[in-house]
Amino acid sequence: MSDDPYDVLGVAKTASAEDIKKAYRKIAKQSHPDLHTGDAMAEARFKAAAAAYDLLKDPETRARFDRGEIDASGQERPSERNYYRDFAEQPDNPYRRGPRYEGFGDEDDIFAEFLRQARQGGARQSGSGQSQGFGGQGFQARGADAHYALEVPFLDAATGGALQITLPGGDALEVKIPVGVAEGQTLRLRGKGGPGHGGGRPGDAYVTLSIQPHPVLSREGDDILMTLPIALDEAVLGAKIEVPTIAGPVKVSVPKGATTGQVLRLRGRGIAAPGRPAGDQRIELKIAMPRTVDDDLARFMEEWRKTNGYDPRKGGKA
Amino acid sequence: MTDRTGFLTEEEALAAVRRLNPMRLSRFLQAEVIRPAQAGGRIVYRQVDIARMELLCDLCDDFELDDTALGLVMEVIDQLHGTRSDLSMLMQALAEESEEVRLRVIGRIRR
Repeated sequence: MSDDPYDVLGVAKTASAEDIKKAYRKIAKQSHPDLHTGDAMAEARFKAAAAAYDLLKDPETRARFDRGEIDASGQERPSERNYYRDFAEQPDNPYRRGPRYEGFGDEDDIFAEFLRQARQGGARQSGSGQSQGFGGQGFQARGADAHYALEVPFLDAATGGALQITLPGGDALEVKIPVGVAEGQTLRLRGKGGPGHGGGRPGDAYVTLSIQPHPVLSREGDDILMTLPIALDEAVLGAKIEVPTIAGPVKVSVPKGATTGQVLRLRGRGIAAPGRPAGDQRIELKIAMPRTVDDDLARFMEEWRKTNGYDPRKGGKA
Repeated sequence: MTDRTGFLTEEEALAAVRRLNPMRLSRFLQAEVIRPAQAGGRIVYRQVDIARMELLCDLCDDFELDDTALGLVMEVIDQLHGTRSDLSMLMQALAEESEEVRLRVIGRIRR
């Protein structure tokens, strides 16, 4: 694709500001990634058009571009952005609120309705009966949804747990944290939102989680990662060292001759979420020198080097 | 998608979304197209809110939508995403079924 902003927008160099705006709007309408979620190429087209429009919409920068003072890349929109579609299609998107399937008889979930129909032998026509419209009943309204944000300690996110949210009224809302929840995941607590009106059902509470970092451990999917500093003598002679895991401390054997970058793997000691194979804990070793090199060590190394010196860079050079 | 994490204060949200200003943010809140979360008595914005604000800024800047239209468009977008999400779950479930079941379902759809 040409990166000339006029080509990108498909307008002539003499186009009026109004024409440029019109051309950009047309592309934005056809290519905005959030409005065309199934189109993989939409983002590239939209980005190019947005960059071109950014350059041409301001008469001053447009004139500078025309005079060749700045190039087409000079005015790109800075910083990567997250598109809403990356969140919006997640089943836990907190903006995906009901009622969504009234036409199917169940306002919560198309799959719940599917199961109900199956139980009844599939005889029911969709859309018939059961609707709670204006048919003689008073006004009913579902309660408002409530939105909460909750910081979850690293270990609770890894092994599951229960936390409490204090509500504005002083009440507490208990939140069960499932094993292995991910950063940004949202839990939906049915019926824990605002009260309904006229006998309507209460709204739901959406609780979005953020995982607090751990001083030593980190996560990569269901694997737990850590860097373990080892002393020079432990690296040479091997050692048994206690390390933290998400289920408490465990002794690991550092093999004789261990080196920086070597990874020990504790199989199955990662996150064990239901329905997924348990992750591992991966321990990367890092040799830490003593704070001061004393005379003993220096003298020993002098002697040792005479007969046993080695070149760890051998074979590594181009 | 970048892997930004955590919750943002109003100040941080204003810094994160270049085209957002306090007036525009209060407009989004009033129109209820952004519904921030509560965290221990504070109001915070989630990553989903940040991504949504970017889209809302596009809709304001590029299409000059007013508040009513903004709410309407977001409602339709959310419904569309919800439906796509359900559809993809259904497709995934079908993909895990046997060939025979899949063919039977396809046959019923084409009837």
